[in-house]
Amino acid sequence: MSETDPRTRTIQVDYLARVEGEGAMHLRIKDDSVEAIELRIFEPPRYFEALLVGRDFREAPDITARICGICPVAYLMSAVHAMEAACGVTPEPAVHQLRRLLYCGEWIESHGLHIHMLHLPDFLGYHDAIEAAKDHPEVVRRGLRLKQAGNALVELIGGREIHPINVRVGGFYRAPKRDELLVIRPRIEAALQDAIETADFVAQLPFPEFERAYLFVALQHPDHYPMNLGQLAFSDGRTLAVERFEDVLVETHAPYSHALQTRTQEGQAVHMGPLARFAMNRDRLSPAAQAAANRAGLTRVCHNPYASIVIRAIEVVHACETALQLIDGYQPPAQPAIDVSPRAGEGCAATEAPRGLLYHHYRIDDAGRIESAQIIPPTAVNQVTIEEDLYQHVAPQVHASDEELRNLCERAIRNYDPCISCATHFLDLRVERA
Amino acid sequence: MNPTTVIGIGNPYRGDDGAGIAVAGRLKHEQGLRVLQLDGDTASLLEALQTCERAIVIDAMCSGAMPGTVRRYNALHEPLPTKTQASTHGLGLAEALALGKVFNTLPDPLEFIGIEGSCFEHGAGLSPAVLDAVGTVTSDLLSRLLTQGFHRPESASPCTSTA
Repeated sequence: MSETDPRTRTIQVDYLARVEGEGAMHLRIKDDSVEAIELRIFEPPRYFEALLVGRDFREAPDITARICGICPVAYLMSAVHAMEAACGVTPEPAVHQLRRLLYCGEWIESHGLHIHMLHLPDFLGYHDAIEAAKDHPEVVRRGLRLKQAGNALVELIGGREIHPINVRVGGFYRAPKRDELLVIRPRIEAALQDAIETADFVAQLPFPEFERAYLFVALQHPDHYPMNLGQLAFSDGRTLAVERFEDVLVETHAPYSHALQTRTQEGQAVHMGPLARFAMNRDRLSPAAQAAANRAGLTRVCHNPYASIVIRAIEVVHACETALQLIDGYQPPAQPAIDVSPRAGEGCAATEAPRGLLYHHYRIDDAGRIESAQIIPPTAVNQVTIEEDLYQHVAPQVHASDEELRNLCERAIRNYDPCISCATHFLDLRVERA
Repeated sequence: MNPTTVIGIGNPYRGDDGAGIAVAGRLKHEQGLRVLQLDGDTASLLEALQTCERAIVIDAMCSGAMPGTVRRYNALHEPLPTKTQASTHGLGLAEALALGKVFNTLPDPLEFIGIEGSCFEHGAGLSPAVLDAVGTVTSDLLSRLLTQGFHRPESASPCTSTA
């Protein structure tokens, strides 16, 4: 079916509303059945991978952090851990604590934004957050306060709110003094209260009945709800070292686009992000987050992607409470960073970006020059799962209007908080019917 | 201290999206002038605007006009271009200001200066037309703010000039 066929109707949308960045989606319906659903991926990470080759290994964190203004900490953390693995060094525990604190800031600000500004209007029946704010000003204000609290924490540790500059391979350029951290404590304490209220509020929202038997993949750590550290855990029970990521999850070219799609070796789509983390790590949530999960009735693995808004809110509670614990127990590291000498080799690492596991893999030479770089962002991995969700949504509703289908698809995509700026160029939704 | 705060918005690593940041960068060392550089994050922008008596916000826009076109708006009373930048943010500038109106937390007067960009790809650097416009806007602001004081835009329709 060509686009010029008179029986074809095409709808073009400038961008997908309320999804970070830009992306494109194409829906083709023929003879009352869904012929194709394609979420198109442009992939700036590929551009950055090429840019990194030949650069010094110490530049990888700051360069890759430019990929996304919403989750730069994830890029910084995956890059430093991968480079430290390549060079065979491990910073002292105090540096790891500070890294967790920085990551808490990113979870609070990123989830705070997505829950209130991007996802919540779907459940409250509004076109956008501005309309929602007219009727629910306190709810939206609470979201802005959470966003700002997270921003402030990232700025305090990272040196800047959006593209932090204080992170380096081996540690930090400067470690804050204890007094400096204590300044932000009241704000995080208030954020914890806001987060608890948010979790209780979103738990009461009406969720569409939609469940699928996802294969979840997330980091798993014996002591912590995972951010920086852990092994790869699959919801079918497998656990693997992060170094085996590429043995198990393989990228193949989609037949309809230039995009690479990630599946298991057996060809199965995987689901990364809050639902996956929760499924594998619920017992390691902080006490207030566990209490919020109990009040929300989330006592088991959740397979409804619409309920991801509740799990994000629970993760904000966890991040606030964890941040308070880290601030209270903070002792500055003996030195902000260890010296890291390059050696020829490879290193890979995965950390939990707010929207799912972010994997980096580098090969460097003995002078520390980057020979190859591979970055696999969670949105790229979730793409196949999102398409499968979309098929399930659209297949029974092929007779719905284009507008209804567009709304249905946009809403289903927003469940994944896709950072399209990491993974696609322009979400331009086209519906073709024959 | 001049009662007007100048706020430049954008991402300097996305080509012409850095236009507002560039104007603010040229003004930030002026004595007696409060200048902020923000990435466009909704919460940070609204928090910053709450601290302003008067404000001028400068950002790149993508309205289909000639690259380098400069448009001035009275942001409290005129609709802004809804696509102000090749955004990787949660809400665009127009939406953020709309939220500020709902909360009644915006300064008065509040002026928006949009600089039409042409290239928003990854990578630093402004295109030549936008670089010229940044110079024009900077000179204009300097002369208005530091010599003649702040002038509230009066017109109901945007005043347009092409750099």
